[in-house]
Amino acid sequence: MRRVDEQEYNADLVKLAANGDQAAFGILYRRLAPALYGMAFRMMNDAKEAEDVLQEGFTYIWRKAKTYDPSRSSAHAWAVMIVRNKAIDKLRARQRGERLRDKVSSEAGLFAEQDDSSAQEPLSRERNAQVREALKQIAPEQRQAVELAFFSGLTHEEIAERLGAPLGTIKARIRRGLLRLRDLFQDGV
Amino acid sequence: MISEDKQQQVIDYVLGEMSATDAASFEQELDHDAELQTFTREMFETLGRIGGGIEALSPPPSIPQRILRQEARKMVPFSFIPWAVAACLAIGCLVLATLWTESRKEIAKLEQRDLLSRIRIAELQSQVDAYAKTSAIVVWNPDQQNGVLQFERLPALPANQDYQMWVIDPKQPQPVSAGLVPKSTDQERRVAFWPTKPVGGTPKFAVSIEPAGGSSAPRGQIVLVGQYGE
Repeated sequence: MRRVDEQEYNADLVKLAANGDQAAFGILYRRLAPALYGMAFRMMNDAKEAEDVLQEGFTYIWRKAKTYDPSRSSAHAWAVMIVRNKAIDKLRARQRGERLRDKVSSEAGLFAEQDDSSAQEPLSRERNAQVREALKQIAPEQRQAVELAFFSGLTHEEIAERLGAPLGTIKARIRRGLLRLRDLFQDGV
Repeated sequence: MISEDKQQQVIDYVLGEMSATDAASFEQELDHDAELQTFTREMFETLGRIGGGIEALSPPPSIPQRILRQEARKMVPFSFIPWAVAACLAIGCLVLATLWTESRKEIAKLEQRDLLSRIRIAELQSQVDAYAKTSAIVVWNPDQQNGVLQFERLPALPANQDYQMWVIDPKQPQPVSAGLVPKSTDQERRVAFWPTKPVGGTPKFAVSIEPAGGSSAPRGQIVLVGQYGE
């Protein structure tokens, strides 16, 4: 019997979904949706809007599964970016990012310590802890810039304006922060 | 070595900060530059980790069905073909439909036969006296990596404990969680499960008693275990 790793398994599920396999699409949803819904909820700060974002994201995944290119990204990262972009479209269109922007720039941030007794899959808790740990290890201004760039729906220019820093400085913080995070993730934090 | 300017360009691309024109031209460059591809992939993966690192929440389970229904409706557009043309076509369609129905029946039979040849059934045996009367059967589809566990006479647990299902793949260092058995007063029930990681070979299936909310690896007593024969 075929034995594959997790990334290959997700990629296979996308491939099957691209060929119209509804069961594979259902399994992909079961595997990815909890984390993506958590992300959408934190970005929208509203359960109904997060649900809409998740549905739009997975509709896109179903329709565009054929365009997924495993050489460009893992299926997980592909899905994260799809749902993140759907959430940002909504935030920008509805101009409702204020609450979140305030939240992101607050000290607690999006990755505040979580209650590990919450009803998450144990594996997912472990991954979240790794991301929190990695974010703790980068400079606070880099972390703030990365979080704003990823989650808030603000453009880099808007982030610069909001933080009162030159655009070049903000772009450099985002770049350095992401490079450091890449290294930390590759080292297994 | 990727220059800082190029790194910045990649980051603008992955974060969606590029205009559509710039993105299209960047993608052309990407197609021909292996180093750039590697760096772009690394940035996608880093962002994927960040986005996927927020606390997971239980999503609405009905979304896939909603999407598939909505997409199926789109596949059948309303026809504006005039009645006269429709009448002419109807006869031809009737013939084709009959042939198609017959073919579908044949295909369905073959698919059913194929599916039945792939699924595996395992009976779990009790490991402790208190579960001697419990009956548990696993129906497992290795291709789709999902299954159903049917219990009879499963004793109820106190509020601070849950039954957790595990799939034990001999090639993996520890059992893979397949989720919790939802609490219920019914002693007979059927639970669908999906391992959190893909499993291969001839796995064993087990049920243990864990602290409420489950564990990342079995810590409590294993009460039922079984394996199907090849």
